[in-house]
Amino acid sequence: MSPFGSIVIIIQEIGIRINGCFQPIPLVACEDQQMEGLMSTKRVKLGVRGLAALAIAGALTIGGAVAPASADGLNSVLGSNGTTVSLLVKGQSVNVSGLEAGVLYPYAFNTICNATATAYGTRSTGAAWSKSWGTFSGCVPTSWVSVTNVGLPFKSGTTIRLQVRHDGFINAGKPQVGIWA
Amino acid sequence: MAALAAFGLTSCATAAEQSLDVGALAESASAFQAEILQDGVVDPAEYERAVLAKRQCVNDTGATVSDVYPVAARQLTFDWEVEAETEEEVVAINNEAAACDEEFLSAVGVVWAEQNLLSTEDREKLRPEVISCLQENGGQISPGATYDEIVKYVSENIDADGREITSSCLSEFPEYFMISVTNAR
Repeated sequence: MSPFGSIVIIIQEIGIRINGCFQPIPLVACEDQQMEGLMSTKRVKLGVRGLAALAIAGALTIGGAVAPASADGLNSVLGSNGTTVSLLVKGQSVNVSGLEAGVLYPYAFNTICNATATAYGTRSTGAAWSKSWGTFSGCVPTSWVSVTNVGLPFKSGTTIRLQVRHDGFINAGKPQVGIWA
Repeated sequence: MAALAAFGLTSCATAAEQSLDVGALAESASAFQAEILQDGVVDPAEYERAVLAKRQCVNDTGATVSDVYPVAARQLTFDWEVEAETEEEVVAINNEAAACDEEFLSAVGVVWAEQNLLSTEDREKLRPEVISCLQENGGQISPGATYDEIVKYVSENIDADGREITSSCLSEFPEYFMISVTNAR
């Protein structure tokens, strides 16, 4: 439980289907936009102070929604060139045991080359932190996925954020998952 | 990216006709990498030297580097962690670390990856295992699916969160999916 108390909000993730593939759409989309394929409802437990901080940072409206919390959640957002970038955080409470980064082209045979994942967060000590992993040379078609162990406690009310560098640029899709005690 | 620009591509060439132009790659690479690439090939010792040089460079930025460990397709890698007072400092160190790749490994790594792509025969040998993995993860795919059909299947089977249903198989068999950088799109 967050020391700040907590509230529970429901974020209805919106998206469209392209060739049978669900593509989430940022929640800043126009209210009157007709969207097909409403898919997943996410229950997000947020500390009051954390919610205010995230709202100020715009985290709730950029690239979808901040994902489920308690160091065990998933967030996928639209990225560069039609990709979807996903971050899966595994753990309990504020203790993060592992991370999975993914970049997906929802079209066969588009490629992802020379990738490295970097996750950013705030340690329980208050220090800024990052881990980079998954570096490979060469190309894969459609999808790239890489996992890493972490085994560290993080500060409650903060987020783990993912950045993937591939094909010589940093993908604009930057998913983030909340960390809550 | 320099490493990706150095292909001998022509507008009419098919994927099979394209080949990596190592000479052009060497011309745009750092002096360290150009020396390795001058004979047109990367041998295991040269590849390891490039990885270790990059690791030393990343270490020198202030990051904490892991041991080097093997991954798919005979590649070596390492992870690094950065801890600092502010995120700006962490980002600055990571930018320096990214420059280490350009200095010591990017071009050599591309050539090494190209040299270690699975042969058609080896890829075919691995195909049943990949299909079994997909099926064990709930994939409805034919036992006789070809490479192209497998790739198409993976791209079309995305869950509500925009992730591949079959991501564990992509992690387990990355070398099966790897293709030539000359086919980058």
